[in-house]
Amino acid sequence: MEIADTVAETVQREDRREFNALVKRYHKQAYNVAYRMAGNHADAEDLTQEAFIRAYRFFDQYRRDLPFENWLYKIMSNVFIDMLRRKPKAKLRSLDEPIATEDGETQMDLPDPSSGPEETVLSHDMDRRIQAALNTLPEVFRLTVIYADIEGLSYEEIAEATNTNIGTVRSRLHRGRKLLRNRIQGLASEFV
Amino acid sequence: MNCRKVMNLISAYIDGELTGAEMLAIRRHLSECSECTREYESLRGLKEAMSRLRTVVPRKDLAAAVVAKIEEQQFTRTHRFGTWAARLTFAKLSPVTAALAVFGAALVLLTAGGMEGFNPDISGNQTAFLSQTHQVSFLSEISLPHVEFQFSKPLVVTSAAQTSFSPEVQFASFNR
Ligand SMILES: [Zn+2]
Repeated sequence: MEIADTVAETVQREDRREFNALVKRYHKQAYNVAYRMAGNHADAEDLTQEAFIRAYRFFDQYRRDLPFENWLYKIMSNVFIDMLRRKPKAKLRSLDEPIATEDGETQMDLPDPSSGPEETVLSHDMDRRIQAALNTLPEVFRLTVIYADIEGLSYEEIAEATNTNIGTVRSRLHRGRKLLRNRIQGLASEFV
Repeated sequence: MNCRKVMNLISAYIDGELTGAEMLAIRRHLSECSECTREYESLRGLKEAMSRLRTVVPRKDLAAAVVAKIEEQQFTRTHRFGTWAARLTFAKLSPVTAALAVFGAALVLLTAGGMEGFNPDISGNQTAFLSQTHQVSFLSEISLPHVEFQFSKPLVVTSAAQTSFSPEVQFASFNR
């Protein structure tokens, strides 16, 4: 009894220690993606939590040759779609204000002069406008655009994360971007 | 390549997800078509803007909250079987039926553990054998060492591998 107990508990403890380290390492990245999907903090938090819980439950199925975040994206996509099915109102929830920045302050609208032009973040207003437009996109388009343009995944990785093929990713991305552009009123002229 | 084709491939072109030949053909087309160039600039600008969205940070204790939630669920999973057995005993079933059900589960555990030649002849337990596969998959979900069966002649399931057994079962109690 004691021996069996010890072995099982040791395995479980090891597993959990490895997983806790992954939570610590990836939760911020996951949260950022979750926020862009859900459009508000409450749903982003639910989505992040549920994704990690599911990941833990199926941790023995995780193939170690795949980067952990790619596997997590796959789970997040499913959790997100489930979440919308459970409460379709989620996409109608209003945006939170203000959006916290990395250093925990409210954002400056001016580019940081010390960084190059590529590294500056958008103005708060523009950020909100894009998020509002994202929230109106059908979910598969939203996921695809977020994975491609925020997370920088390849088409192959997006196909894996959204459980489809590369051809579908290509067309979703193209249509998704055009939809998004049309819904960001007056934005096009500002960033060309 | 005509405008229609180029317009369709423009996103993939921006992402560099085309063949070398396609990339070249589009680049050539863009150098002489202002309408397609406008579309290209516009979509490229959108991609650029998306990549410059600020990083949204969670509350400081989110990682801790996630870990705590996992611990909590782990606990529930380990003890689910206890609840299940308790329900059998305290709900609609008579104590004898509940005992038989638990005993049936114990037999499945023994069989699953590879006890060759183990062939008990106890009436009333056919159900347990018929639904063996189903029960095994259910039982494999629980953490075995936490389950302990006690019979009139002591039967203690410590691990599937080392088990002593007596078929003269009159009573089964269950504790985790
Ligand atoms: Zn053209």
